[in-house]
Amino acid sequence: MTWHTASLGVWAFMALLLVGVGVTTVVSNGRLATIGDFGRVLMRSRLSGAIVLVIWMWLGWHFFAR
Amino acid sequence: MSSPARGMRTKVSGSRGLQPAGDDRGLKALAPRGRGSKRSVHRGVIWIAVGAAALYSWFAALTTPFTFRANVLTAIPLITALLAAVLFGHIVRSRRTGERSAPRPLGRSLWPWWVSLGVVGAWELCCYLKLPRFEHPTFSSLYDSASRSQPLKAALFFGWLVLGWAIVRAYGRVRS
Repeated sequence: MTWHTASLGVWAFMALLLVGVGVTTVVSNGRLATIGDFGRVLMRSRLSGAIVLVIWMWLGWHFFAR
Repeated sequence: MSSPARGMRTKVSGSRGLQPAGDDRGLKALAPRGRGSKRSVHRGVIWIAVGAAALYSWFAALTTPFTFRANVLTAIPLITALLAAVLFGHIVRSRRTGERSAPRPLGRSLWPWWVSLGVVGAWELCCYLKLPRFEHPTFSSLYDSASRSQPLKAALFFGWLVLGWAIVRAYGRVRS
C-alpha cells in the first residue's frame, strides 16, 4: 500500500466521519447540535459571521479563480 | 375620550369588521387563496434563482483558473455576496431597536462539530506540510483532480453558491 492510497483512505474516512456526525446529530433527539444549529451559532455574532464570510470568499477564489 | 374616527377604525379592524354576522364565507375563501398565490410566486422565484445559479455554475465550470474569465465569473458572486451582507447587516442594525432579537439557539452540545473540524483541519495541515504532494494530497489537490470533470466542477461551484446564499441570508437575521 502506497502513501497515496493511505492518504486517500484517510480522506475518505474524514468524509464518512462528517456524514456520520451529521446523521448522529439529527437523530440525537435535540441533545446534539445539528449542522444548521452549528451554522446559526457561528453566524450569531458579527465578528464570527464576518470570519465565515471571508473564509467562504477565500475558498471560492482559491478553488475557482486561482 | 376617543374620537369617532378611532372608534370606527377599531370596529372595522375586528375579526368580522363591518360584515354582518354569519356572512364571512367570502372572506374565508379569499384569504387562503391570496396567501397561496403569494407562496406559489415565492416558490417560482426560488426555482428561477436555482435554475439561474445552476446555469451560472455550468458556465463558470467551463473556465480555467488563472484566466480573466475565471476571475470575473468568480468575482461576480463574491462581490454580490459581500454587498448583500453589508446591506443586510445595515438593515438589521437599523431595525434592531424596534424588534425582538432572534431566539438564541440551543443549549445543544456543539462538541461533535468542533472535534470534526479539528480532526479534518489537523489532517489537512499534516498533508500540507508533507511532500511530495501526490503522496500526501491536500483538500486543494483533491479538488484539482476532481475539477477536471466539468459536471463535478459545476456541482461544486453550485454548492459554493448555495453556501454563500445561506451565509448572506444569516446576515439578514436580527442578532442578539
